[in-house]
Amino acid sequence: MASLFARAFLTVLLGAILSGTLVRFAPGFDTDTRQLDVRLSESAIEALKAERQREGELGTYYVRFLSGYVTGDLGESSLLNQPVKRLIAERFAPTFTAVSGGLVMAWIAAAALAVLAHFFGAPARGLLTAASGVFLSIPVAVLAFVFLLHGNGSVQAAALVVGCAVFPKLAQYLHQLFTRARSAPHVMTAHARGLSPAVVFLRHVMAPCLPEIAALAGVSLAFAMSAAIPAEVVLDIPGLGQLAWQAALGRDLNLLVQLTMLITAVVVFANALAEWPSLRRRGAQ
Amino acid sequence: MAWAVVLAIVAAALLAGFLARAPHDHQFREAIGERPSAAFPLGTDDLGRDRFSRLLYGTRVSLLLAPAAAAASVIAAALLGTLGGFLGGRWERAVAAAADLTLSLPWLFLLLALRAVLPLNAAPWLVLMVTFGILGLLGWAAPARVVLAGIREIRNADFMLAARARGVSSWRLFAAHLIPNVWPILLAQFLISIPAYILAEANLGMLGLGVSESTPSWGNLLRELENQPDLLLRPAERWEVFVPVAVLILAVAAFHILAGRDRVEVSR
Repeated sequence: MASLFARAFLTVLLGAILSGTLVRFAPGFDTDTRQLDVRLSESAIEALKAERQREGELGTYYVRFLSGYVTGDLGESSLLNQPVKRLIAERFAPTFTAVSGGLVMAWIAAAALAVLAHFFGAPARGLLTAASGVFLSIPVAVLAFVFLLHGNGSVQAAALVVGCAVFPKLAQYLHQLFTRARSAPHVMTAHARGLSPAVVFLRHVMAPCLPEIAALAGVSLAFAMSAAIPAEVVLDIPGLGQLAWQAALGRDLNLLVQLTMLITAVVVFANALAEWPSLRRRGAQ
Repeated sequence: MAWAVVLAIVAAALLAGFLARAPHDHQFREAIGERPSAAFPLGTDDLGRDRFSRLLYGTRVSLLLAPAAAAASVIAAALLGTLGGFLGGRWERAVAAAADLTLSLPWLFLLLALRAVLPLNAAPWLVLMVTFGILGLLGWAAPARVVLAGIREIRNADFMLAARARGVSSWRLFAAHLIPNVWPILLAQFLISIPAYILAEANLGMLGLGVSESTPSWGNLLRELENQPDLLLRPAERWEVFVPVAVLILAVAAFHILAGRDRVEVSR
């Protein structure tokens, strides 16, 4: 277990270094808008330039960037002139509601359709393929726009959009998993021994799939977070997705990489949890 | 049917020069915001540009660059996946770990971050290439994982063991026995990636971060939906604005069918 979390930590650290590199070498890093103030004297501008140069020295820069994660100082947003930490805290709740609501809806719908397809064969399979095919072909932003057309620009609508975006991937993957597990010899034996279909499904089809389902749960969080951006932008929900979009349009790279790091850390640790050894053992049994 | 749809869309894009009345960026100053007519089948936009022409040229851009990005990611996946899978051991673990790491990243956040690095005054063609280039680079992980799994299976197949027992060299095993068997996997991954990239560009375009004006693409044609507040009141009366959405959905659905998306891979 410790090695799992150590790996997750190393992954996040690597991500932080790459993010820092992106910010450091982005065009405009050496520019300080204060230098453009016409009221400043030559010597003041030179002092600002020297300060900026010191801050930009690679060693100093990386130490400051990485120690920010330990001290909780994520820097300032150049676009909104506010600490990144405060912006994230303010915008977290709508995104959490949209993403968690969307994931719950997507998982319920996908699991229900995959189970129906398992028990009722071709008609339910057709329904699963059609439903997932339709949602898989529509851009998330267009889905959000459809809700906007119907006058629903709420967080619940954003959750529904996220759910619609994540659902097809989950439904098709769960369907594949169950189909593969169903053809295993021990499942055929269980059927031959007269066990009820529900018992066979729960004990011999679903149980071996648990590790994959847990892994899918981790990955589905990344899907949902990505879907939250267009959903929040189009529906005008003041969440992290909209904040990332504003940061991208305003070239606020520090805010953008801090948001990316936050989401990456959440997803990486969720994936690490999904690999919990007891869950793996259960699947193997 | 899916092939017919794809071929019809490709043909329309290739014949854009013949079918369109004017180049995509030509402004008819006397016909700004025109409704559909014989002269302008889809009307004109708020700059007086022919929507039909922009749709045809936008189709050309999206249908050329989405497969190019798909090819880039499949080539990267093929290189890393085949080498990692063939060499096995720590190489295989390294490729698998890198693929898992990439798949853990919220790709749209990452895409926005990389896209934001581009200077504001970048030329449209550069933005176009970079957008699809980033899509291609970020998309290597899912195909690589499938290639890796495929190679693992082929590596342990009876014919490979027999070839190895007969003293066939590693290079010949790789070139003559492994690569031909990986080809169908790569082709499937290529077809699967195309609709994913079309959708990614569409989402970026609708957010205003895709291909920049005045070059049309399916993504930035969708942006018109957002910029027309009267659409929210009377969507049925402005059907022409929804035509690019319909074409995009049709094309993506057709590509999904071609790729046999029943067996969807968990990618993004």
